[in-house]
Amino acid sequence: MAVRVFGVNLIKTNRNLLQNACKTPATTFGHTAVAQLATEVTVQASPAAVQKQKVSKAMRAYLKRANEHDEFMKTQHLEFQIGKRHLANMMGADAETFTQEDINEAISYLFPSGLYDPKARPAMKSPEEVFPARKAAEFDETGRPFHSMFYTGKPNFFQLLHDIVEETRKLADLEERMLRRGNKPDENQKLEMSGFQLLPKDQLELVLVESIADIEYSNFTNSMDRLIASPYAYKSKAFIERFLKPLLDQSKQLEVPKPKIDEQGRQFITTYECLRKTARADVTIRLPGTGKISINGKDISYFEDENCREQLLFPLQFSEMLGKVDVEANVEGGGPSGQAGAIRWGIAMSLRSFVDQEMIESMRLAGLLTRDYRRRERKKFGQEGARRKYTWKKR
Amino acid sequence: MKMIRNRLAVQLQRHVLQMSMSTNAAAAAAPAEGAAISEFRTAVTNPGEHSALQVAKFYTIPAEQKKQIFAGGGLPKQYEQQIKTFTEACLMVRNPALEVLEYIKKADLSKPVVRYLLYGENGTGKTLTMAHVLHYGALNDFLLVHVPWAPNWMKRPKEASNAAGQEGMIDLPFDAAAWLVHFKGQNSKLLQRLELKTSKEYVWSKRESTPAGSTLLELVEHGIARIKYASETTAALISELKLLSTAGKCKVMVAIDGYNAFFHPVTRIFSDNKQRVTPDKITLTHPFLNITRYDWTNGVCILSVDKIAMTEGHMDSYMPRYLLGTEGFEHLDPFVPIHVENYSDKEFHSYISYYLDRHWINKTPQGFEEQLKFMSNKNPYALMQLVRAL
Amino acid sequence: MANSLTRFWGQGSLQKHVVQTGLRGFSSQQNPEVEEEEEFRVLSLRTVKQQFQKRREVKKDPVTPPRSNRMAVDQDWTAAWPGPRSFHPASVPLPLRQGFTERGAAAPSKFANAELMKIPNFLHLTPPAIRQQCEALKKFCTPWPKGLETEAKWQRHFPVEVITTDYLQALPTIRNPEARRVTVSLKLSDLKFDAHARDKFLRLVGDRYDKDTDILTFVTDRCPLRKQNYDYALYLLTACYHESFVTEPWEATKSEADMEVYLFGRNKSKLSAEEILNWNAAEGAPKVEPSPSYGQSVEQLINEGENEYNLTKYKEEVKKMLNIASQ
Repeated sequence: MAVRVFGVNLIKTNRNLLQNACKTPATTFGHTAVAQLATEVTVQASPAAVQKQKVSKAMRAYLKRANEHDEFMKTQHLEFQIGKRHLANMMGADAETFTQEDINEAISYLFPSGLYDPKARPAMKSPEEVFPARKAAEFDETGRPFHSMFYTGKPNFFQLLHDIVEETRKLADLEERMLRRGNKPDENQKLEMSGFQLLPKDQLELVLVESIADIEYSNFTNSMDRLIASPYAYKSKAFIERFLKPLLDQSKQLEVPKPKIDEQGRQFITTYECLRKTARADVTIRLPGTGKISINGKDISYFEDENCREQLLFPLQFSEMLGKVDVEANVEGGGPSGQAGAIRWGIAMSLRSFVDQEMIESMRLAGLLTRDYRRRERKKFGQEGARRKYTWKKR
Repeated sequence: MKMIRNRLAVQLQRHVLQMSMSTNAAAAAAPAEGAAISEFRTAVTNPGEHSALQVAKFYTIPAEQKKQIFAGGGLPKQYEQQIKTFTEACLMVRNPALEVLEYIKKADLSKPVVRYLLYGENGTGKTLTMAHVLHYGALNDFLLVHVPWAPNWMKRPKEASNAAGQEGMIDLPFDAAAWLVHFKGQNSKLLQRLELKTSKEYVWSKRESTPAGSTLLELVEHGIARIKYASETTAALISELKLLSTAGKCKVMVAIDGYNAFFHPVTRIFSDNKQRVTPDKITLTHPFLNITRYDWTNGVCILSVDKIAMTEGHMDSYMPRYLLGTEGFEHLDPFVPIHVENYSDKEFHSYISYYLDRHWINKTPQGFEEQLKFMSNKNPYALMQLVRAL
Repeated sequence: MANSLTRFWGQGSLQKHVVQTGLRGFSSQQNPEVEEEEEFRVLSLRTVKQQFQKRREVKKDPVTPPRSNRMAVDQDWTAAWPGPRSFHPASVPLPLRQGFTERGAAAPSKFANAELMKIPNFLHLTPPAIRQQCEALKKFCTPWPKGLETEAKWQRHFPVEVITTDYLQALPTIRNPEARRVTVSLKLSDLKFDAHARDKFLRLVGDRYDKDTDILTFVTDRCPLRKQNYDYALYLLTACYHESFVTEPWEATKSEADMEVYLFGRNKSKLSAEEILNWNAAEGAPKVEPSPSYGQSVEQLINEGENEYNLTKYKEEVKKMLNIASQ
């Protein structure tokens, strides 16, 4: 009987998360992934396999710690639930419909903090978010590992590689069969990879709850690429998508704002924060126009220098919009070349809304859409300037 | 397409002509071609006959007239160079000049003289507008009192000495003599024809004097010969001109470029006590201020105010009241301000065609005209700089 | 659900204690089994009885559980936290956390967290508290006077604004020197002037008048009492106003340099225009005056500053006056 109880208990403890050396932040993404792997482990450990064996001291310590953690998390959950009700009561809201957003709002009202980093401000979050996830136990009470690849040291990672190869083989078989039948892959279902990228190394580590080496990561990417390159890759779409990440920042930059309509019924777009050196500008482009330019209320003669005028000319001429749009710019700070550079960038960025995708791409290649981050280099002591040394004189 | 072919044909023709003749002869012959004239040129060489029809078209000043009027200055240096390169003195007919000509033609000369004031941004063509009007004056029997660039006297005089007669005044003998030479060059033919006489005797020193009844030409020549008295001669000449024109014996056209230099706070000339003098301490200033007053008739004044006639710190605006200052404004008021602006689209295109015609612009990539328009802001001087030789 | 949970927790630490023991009981279930295993016995040949002197245990007072444990979730929070006070972890029943940590670790909890005490809190100004206080204050309020509903209306009836400040301080004396200061302000457009009076008034008040907002401000603090300062400010206003209507004999000697605006009639421009218009006129003939619109255009050109519009207007007027043909 005792054995039976023990076994049941053990399964329970397995389900709990055992402490692991690797600490992982509790991002929601990583958390769910870990939980997934953890359940897999649990399923493999069948109670029938448990025999009466001696329980080692280390094992006992593991179990104790796991229990403690479990208990701790339970109390934390309870405290959070009650705290939430208290907060709802304080704010005079209904506790049942009090969401996490309401909590955040209430906390920022009750404890206004001017700290710059939002992470450093007071917060009330659910314990899942506060406490990092841990890896589940990898072996049973007799010390026998659950996972067949336990002794590789990185069972989850190698399991993943194994799975990828499995999938690839399945697709290859399918391809051969289809070829024999004379069928062709469905072009409409083709996997859309643009705007996505494979998980970067650090995120993959979070998913696997294991740290991997660079070469292992490249192994992963290579085998994934092979899988994706298969013409029938759409058949294992669900599998592939687990390891894809949308290219958020780039697609955001590629996202071209829609022009607005002004009082005269002309389309216009305004780009704020056009920066170059210490100059700051905002640029408005209006279509259709006659090529009129106004910079701080003056025309192009605001810039006396030929160079600076050319800077403004370049994006307009390159996109063949010269004489078709009106440009209004407000610029301050910096010198003439900095101001011209800032306005040039603003014109190019605004023009994206009025040209086709191809032109945007070629503008990007021409470097028109790239911010110039160069700043003035400081003067060094013992030198005449940033780089130049004092004149050397023998005596 | 047809137009282009036309122009090409004309260019070819001209090219052949230039090959066959000497360059000078070609320049003279170009406007005389008549029927084969390009669309940006006009055969009307008399400024008096210019009207809105000729706007944005080029007319050629005949070589000998150009030599007569502009030998002593009056065209900007770079424009002079361009004339030399293109071997023809072409001026574009533009609105401000037409406006002034219109006023002059319809003016009632028995009324006090009207002052026309050209103003505008740097390099918009104030001086060339004035040149156009001067050409009209020279052809229509106006005696020209023309100061090509007044700030020269205040900024870089040849020599400055204390005036003999007046205490605390500064003489610019060489500049005054140079101006007399310029005056003589412009008007000698007309002076000989009109036979103008002085009204009173001018005593220069114990031995030298110009008796009443001597011709103005003698007066001028005396000033040129005796440089010491050039400034006084200038004053005498100008007061004589005022009297004569009021009496109706002649017509006078006053044209002063950079007029606001006479009202600038300081000059670069130092007095004996090593202090900068003001323009009203220069003897040469007074006759020209005198002739721009309204108290005479049978004349016309074309003045221009220019930012670059001023010095650092006084160049914020091109508006006449700012450049003239309170004193200058009171001196001139009421005047007719005439705004000289940048090229219009038509004028700009015409100028580009002219440059193409002279083979001055060689490479014509697609959209070069638009780009030049953008870069120069349709400013004549900026355009000239953009297409200049290296 | 809420109520049952409240009851469960609200009944205090006793209940919680029970739960905790229950948990412990659950976890200690496996202990007997563990105990069953033989320990590795150490062979000891000599049985030396080691006498350990039992140390006296220092009796510590048990740490009382935080007050927040005993709070019901439907309590009246305004009673629990009635006024402004810096953060106290045991009195605030929220599992707050604040602080920046290295990646992977949880942020420090509210206990012994100085960061939470540093920042201000609005625990006494929760929406129910504000509502409660407004409710309590309501009976002291009088209805808003009729006819003064909008700002424009009360501005019209009470153009003069008087600002004084009362100070509450922990000093032996109850008087604050700043309390005597009186600020009187009003819009200049509320006073009626003629051209001369307005000019003189502005010269009298100097920089107390703000041109951009059209507001005149007197600040008086030279008398020891607020009442005296207030009277003085009103006296100043009255005196300046009436003085501005007085024209002194020496005011006639005002020269062109003293003029605040350009007036066509006083200047050389008018003389030149007259002289040109009357050129060659016979002796005794009636003088032709320049048209008032010309004078206006000159005044506008100089007073408003030059711009294309004013200059074009001036040009048109000159052309009209000199009879120059327009194109």
